[in-house]
Amino acid sequence: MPDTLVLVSQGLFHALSPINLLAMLLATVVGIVIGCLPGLSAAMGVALLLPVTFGMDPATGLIVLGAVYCGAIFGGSISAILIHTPGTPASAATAIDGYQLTLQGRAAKAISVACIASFCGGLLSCLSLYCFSPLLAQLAMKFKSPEYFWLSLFGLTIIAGVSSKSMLKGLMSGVLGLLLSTIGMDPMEGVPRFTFDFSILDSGINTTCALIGLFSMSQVLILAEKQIVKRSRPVDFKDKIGVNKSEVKRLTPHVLRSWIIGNIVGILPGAGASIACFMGYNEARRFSRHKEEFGKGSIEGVAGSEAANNAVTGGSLIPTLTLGIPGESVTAVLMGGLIIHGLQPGPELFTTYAGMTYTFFGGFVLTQFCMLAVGLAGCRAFAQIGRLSDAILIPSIFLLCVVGSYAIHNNFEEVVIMFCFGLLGWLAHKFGLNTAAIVLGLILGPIGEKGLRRSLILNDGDPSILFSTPLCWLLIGLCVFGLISPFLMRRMEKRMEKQMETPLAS
Amino acid sequence: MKRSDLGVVLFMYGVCLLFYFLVTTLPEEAKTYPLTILACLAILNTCFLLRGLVALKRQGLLNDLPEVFTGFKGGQFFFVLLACLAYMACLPYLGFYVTSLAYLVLCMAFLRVPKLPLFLTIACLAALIYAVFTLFLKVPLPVGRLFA
Repeated sequence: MPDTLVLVSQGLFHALSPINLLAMLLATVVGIVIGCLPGLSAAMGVALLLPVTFGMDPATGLIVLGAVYCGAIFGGSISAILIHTPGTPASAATAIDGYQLTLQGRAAKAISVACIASFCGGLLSCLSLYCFSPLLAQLAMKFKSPEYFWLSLFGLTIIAGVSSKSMLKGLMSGVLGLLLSTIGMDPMEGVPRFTFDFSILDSGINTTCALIGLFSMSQVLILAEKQIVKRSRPVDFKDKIGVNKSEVKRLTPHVLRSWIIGNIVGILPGAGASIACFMGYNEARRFSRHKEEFGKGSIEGVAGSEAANNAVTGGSLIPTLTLGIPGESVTAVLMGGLIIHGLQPGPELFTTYAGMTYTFFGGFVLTQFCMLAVGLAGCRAFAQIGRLSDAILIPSIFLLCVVGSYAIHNNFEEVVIMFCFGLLGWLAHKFGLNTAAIVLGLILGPIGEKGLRRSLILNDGDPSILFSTPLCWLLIGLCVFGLISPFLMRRMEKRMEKQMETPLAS
Repeated sequence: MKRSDLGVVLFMYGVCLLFYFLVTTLPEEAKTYPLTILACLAILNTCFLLRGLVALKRQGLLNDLPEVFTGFKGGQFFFVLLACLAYMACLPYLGFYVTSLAYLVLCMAFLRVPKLPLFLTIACLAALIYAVFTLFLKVPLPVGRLFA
């Protein structure tokens, strides 16, 4: 315990270095801008910024990615409140009451509540990150090759199952990712597989290229196929920014409740901020003394939704960093960032690289303060930036995709790989396949393959080793849970939708 | 069964066939793992097809392509796609900055971006890329064979 406290304080101290603070500030601004632009996602922003972090110290690089993540989740609420268009799906519930407040001339109040609730949700989620991550990492220390095989399978089943409309399509996407992960040198035999005689493929598909392609390049094509529309002008708000004492008292229980909801949703792989915001909103309404305000401009609704979606950020990092199972696409991209810096998610992050990990945690805490300050001070400017036309975004994002993928190894062939993954991402979007599962397959494939083949070599090819420990059985049980969880999630969503419809209709 | 699902099935079988053909060229020891993955993909795809066939018997073949491509602006999409391909083809010859300038002007002019935002975007992007990639990351962006 004292060691952990020392690490926590050292991490915070390192995160306070001028370079980290500057990187954090810029990344938060970039994140908020990406978030408030409808059509651009947090995953896209983080993928686009991955190559920029190459030249940085791993801790600074991760702080940048974390800041973009948090900023983007909050940024989505600005366009949700001002133009009734959620910048990201995570702010969909905020739009319900946020825009009503704007229509009443209380836009500044809505943005202030969103910003403060996001700050509280994010900050409290850091607590869970500090408390639960080392515990889970200790469990991960007991993992050997068979457990790693089941773990990768669990990660794949749960995200493939939960985040697609069709579970079979989700699983097919995950297996497609696994298949693509076999491209490159065979880890045991040293034979090139499916490289088409391209030397660049000998080391496998570069994860960063794949991430930029699947999340950013595909977005270019998604935007290009739609009619370019002029975004509506945001309301010029003149009311005062901030919240008073009585409002703080009124909002505190909702923020606390949403923090717990967001954290649990974040920790559960497959359930992301878009689900948490509705759950937070719904619970805020259920416990509110002013139920009649919901749907007509309730600050409690805005707080409930925003605190929950930002509480997801810290929660979703827990399984990502400790077990290597990202809960959603953004954390899958963040995990790609870790791997790029030569770090493997798992217990090593809390032993060998504990200094770096706790600096990242410290940076994550400070990012919340940064987000609060930047969000409150710059909301008027961000509202204007949110109107940026898709006609400008399409070529600009493409250019950043090209330069980002080229910068990895100064190699043009990687730009081509990125483009191919962009086309795959677009097709996946069109035909209901799951890009997050493809990425997970790509990332978890080598871990699972090594785990499986090492286990079999150790046991002279006898697969019984895969069922030899209680931990293996626990993970098998979790895989089964992963397969049945979509049905549970669907039931929960349906129930929530029903609950939402009833009072809104009344 | 939906037409888009039929497309997914055909695509996945295509992938399976391609990789199966490639697996046969591998040495025996290296075949097992990719074959297992291929078998999983083929089984899942067949399950998906069977489910589709059950739906086909019940509802017939539903043409959901108009729904999938609702609001699809073909001209705009293919122009952007071709511009991206042309950009990548020209990049090794003309270098990063010349190709990017031509691409940005062409693309934004086609998408009807007014002159002032067009110039501002070009200036901002050039400054951003130069500062981040050339100055900070020290990435030697391609100068192009014509100018090398």
